[in-house]
Amino acid sequence: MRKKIKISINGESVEVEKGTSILDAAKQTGVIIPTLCYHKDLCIAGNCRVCVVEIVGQKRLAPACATPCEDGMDVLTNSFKVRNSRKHIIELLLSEHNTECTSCYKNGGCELQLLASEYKIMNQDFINLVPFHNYTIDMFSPSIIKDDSKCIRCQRCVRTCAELQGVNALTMSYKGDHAKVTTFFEKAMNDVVCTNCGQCVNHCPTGALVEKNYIEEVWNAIADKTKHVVVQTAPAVRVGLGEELGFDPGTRVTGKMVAALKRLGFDAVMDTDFTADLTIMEEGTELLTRLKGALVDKNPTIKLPMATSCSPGWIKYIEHMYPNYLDHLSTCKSPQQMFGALVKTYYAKARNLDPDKIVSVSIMPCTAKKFEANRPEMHDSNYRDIDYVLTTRELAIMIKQAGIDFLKLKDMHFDRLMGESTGAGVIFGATGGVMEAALRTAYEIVTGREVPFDNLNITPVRGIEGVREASIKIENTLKAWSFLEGVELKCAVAHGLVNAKKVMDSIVSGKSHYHFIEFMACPGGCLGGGGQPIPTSPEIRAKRAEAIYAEDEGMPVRKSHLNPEVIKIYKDFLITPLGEKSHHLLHTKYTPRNRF
Amino acid sequence: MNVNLENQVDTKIIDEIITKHKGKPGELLTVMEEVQEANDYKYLDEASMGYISSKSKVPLSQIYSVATFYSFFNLKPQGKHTIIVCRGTACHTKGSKILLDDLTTLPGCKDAFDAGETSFTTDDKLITIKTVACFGQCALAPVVAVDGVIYSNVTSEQIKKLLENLQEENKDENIRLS
Amino acid sequence: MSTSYQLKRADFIFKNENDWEDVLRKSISRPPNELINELISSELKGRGGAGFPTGLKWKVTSEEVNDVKYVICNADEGEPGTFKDREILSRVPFKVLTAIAICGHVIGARTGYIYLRGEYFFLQNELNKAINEFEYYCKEIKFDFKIKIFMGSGAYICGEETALFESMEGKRGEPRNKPPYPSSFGYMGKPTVINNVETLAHTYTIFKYGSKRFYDLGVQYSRGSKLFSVSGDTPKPGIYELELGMSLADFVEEFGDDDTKAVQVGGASGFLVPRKRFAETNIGFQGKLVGISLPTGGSMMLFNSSRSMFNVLDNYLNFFAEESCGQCTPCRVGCQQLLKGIKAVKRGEKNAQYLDKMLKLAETMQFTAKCGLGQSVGNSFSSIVENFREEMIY
Repeated sequence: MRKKIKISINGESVEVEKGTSILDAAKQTGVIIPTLCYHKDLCIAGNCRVCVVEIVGQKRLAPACATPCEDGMDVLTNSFKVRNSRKHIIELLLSEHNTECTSCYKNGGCELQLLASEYKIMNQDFINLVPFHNYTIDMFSPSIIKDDSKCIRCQRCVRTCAELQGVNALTMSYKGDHAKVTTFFEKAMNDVVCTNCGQCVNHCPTGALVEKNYIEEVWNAIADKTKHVVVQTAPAVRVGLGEELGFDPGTRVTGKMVAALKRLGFDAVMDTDFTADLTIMEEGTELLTRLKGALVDKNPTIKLPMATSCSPGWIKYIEHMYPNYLDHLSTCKSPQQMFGALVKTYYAKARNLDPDKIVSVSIMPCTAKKFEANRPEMHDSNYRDIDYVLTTRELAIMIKQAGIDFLKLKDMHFDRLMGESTGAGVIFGATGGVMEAALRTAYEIVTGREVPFDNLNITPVRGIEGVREASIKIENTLKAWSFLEGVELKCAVAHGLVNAKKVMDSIVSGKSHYHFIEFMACPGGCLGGGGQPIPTSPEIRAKRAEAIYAEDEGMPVRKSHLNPEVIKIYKDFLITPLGEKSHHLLHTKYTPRNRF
Repeated sequence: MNVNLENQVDTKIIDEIITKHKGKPGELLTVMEEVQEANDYKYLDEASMGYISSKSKVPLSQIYSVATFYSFFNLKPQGKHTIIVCRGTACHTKGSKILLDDLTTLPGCKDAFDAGETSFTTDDKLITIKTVACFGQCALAPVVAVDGVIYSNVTSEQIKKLLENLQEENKDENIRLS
Repeated sequence: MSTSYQLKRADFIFKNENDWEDVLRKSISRPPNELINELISSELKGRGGAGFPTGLKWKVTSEEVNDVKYVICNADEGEPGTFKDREILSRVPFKVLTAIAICGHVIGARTGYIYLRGEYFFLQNELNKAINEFEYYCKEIKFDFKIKIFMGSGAYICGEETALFESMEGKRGEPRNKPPYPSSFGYMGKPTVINNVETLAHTYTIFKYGSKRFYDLGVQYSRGSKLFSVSGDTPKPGIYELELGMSLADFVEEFGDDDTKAVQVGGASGFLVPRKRFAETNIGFQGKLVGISLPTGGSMMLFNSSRSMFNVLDNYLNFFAEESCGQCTPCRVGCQQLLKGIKAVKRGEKNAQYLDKMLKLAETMQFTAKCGLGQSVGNSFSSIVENFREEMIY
């Protein structure tokens, strides 16, 4: 227990642990202090000065986020001096911010706008500084738009990119009146190490960093009677979407989401979970094949550990940072891209549709998926496999635009053929989920028995630790897999690219002895993705994770290889995992990139 | 004069500089300064920054971030001669603005400064004009530094003559070169 | 020129004394507590601007428990109008080196750094020679202490102590949040004493002659002497060591050109005092009437009636807008607003009442900026606008 100290906030006495910030202490007494540069996921910057408070006896005001409480402190959060200073600071931020709010994508969701509205900044007559700067809007990336004229230099994006992701694509450059957030040499985001993970978008308080949205394109496709518009939804969307539409974090809205998508006018509403299960079949088989190649055949070209390839942010990260280690990546496409390749082949054939007339849309918790869909190699159906990627947030916008009262919707089911999912597919949305799903299936293939964990819940791979490890001893194998008898399968899970870096560095230094590693670009996995509802925080992500695992437990089938539609597609179309068709449609190659 | 803008510093030289300063405080700043000094045009070129980053494991964006923060780092090729005018209050009061106006008669120079640039280099890479916040020579105002040598109580006539001399010297060189 | 006023000249800092070896040897043989008490009773306050009691600074740092501590001599003299640290380092470097080493003895540090302003590159060679000689002597008397020079790279903000640490760590010179203070978390996160060059030079005097000799100079709250960098419209620009507590009227009598309209005390971050207030303004840590705090580094810039105060303020604000690190809102945006604002008023784009709004903004900057730079922009702004309002408008 840390030492307790007593302070007074607005005259009310409160006891807090030594080291508690004034901001947190105030929260404990029910006093809200406004913030901008502060974010629970990030280190304290103390830059914006919106949270300044008065400490009685001190001439200067103190930033509540960066000032620790001291015994006997007498804090005022709403004094004359505080109120006036805070208004001044908000006015100053507005004067350097492009306040064309009505034409801003973040209109209604901007933290600066909200502050301006709370403090009723009606007579903002400071000089508009925007015209004095040569601002550019970077629209080259298929995922992210960066508009410097809306930036308020809180550096949340810079800290996100460095601390959470270890990517360092964004940085603070120049100083004084020229200070701004840039990339190396102010290159376009698309030309630097940016992984498109969108965490910066998720942490930006204003409209300076937003996703590139494709809402109008999708509306147009739906309106086009000659098009058959198919939509797929990623596992993490169903535990996040509710937050944008009036539900508390951690509410599962799967059935309502399907109903809403049907009302929006999509011709078929299917589930990325289906291809998540399919990924397990392909990736699990690939893992077992690699283990045989490396451990039994001693083939030096076969690389272990094998790394998962579902997260496009992670893929671009390794392409930039560890271009010599691309052989470690599973060749499996992500579930989104598997789905895309199958919609315009398998689905088109089964429904007797001209693939040219199919528009394939995906709803993702992710901005990097937009980049992934845009990769030149993702045309294996002979068409662009995925036409448009929308984030969870964009879907929420469409639902609101369509006038759908989401709370009142009745649950509906996904359409058949590629709409069936298992609990294993669902948990792809949480960090450790791909690992758990893969182990449930691979262990059973090899031994004929279920994984030796209570109720199939492989708890060691769950949780919030940045890097987690687990090992399973393989014993009493089936005859065909006897070469794995006695092998202790060593696995690791990493989420947030800063943790991916730790694991990769251990591989590079030769200290790693893992066989299989799951990498997810975003903290918490896809449920904490850059396309998920704003705000995000460790608590919100924990709620979403609870929801994902509840969804898994509620599923009648919880192992990918028992998904009836997966069984059917191998019977009717793919024949066998890693077969010729799979190889053509479901697997891919990677591109080494430079480190700019 | 043949100006090669692709000019970059030999990676061997950069390696030596990095090895020399390994583990010293503020290593990165010192390395960057010396690499800049090793460049024929006294600036940090993109390729050299990339090389420093790959060797020092400091992210490239952070190197750029530091380079743009300090006024000693140049991100553009510098001229053979550098004239720095002090715009500190004492110098300013004693007419340093007039001296700067004399120098900005160089073609393109005024536009560059008006556009907010803090440095200008002639196309032939002969002369760079810069300003400094304060030289700390206020008793001798106005002060101008030419290639590291500080001149005090500078007059408009002197600065014009100086500019002429630097340009003349170059003409001679051209004659010699041809 | 009238001689009815007497400025009390002092001559300690530049006095030629070839006894640094003695002072060093004797001082490090004394227990740290005794030296700290000597400093405390001298009432020496930091000569870099903030005026923090030096003895207290050393005391707190000496009480920190840590194997590694640092002494840093802040020679990032960047305040426009200040040039005395340059003179100290070139004329009496051994006094400063000795003081750094004594501080090391007091707080338990074995390494000292001189953070030398990049523009002072020409001092580097001589200073390194002095350091070599100094370290040689330290070795001789078996005193384990090293001093290194760290060259700045041209950023005014690095004179702020925590920005200076950041810079020494190879980063952007952005001031840190305080607390923690340097005494517990300074350079490389270690307990650090950071003192201005002149402050250290004064400690040499105090250790050599005893605290009383220093204390007897100056006035209450403002003990000792101080170097003043005199520039602007004066027939005798240069550096002068004067006792604290003098009245500005006396100062102008001595250094003015009989047409002095105003004096900027303390450089861009200091205050402008108009002629009508010369008599009531005392130069010291607590002014008698007007309450003018002693300037950063003692820059005294005189302006005569031919000078436009608008131009002076414009020059200061340009300087601050560029040299702000750009981190915190009040400083980054505030400086731009003040700069653009006075121009707008001058051009008639904003009415004269806008000056009042800016005065309030300057006050907010004082209350809310992250570091001393942003907090002190309001000093020159308010004192110039309040005293020369008509020059701002017409």
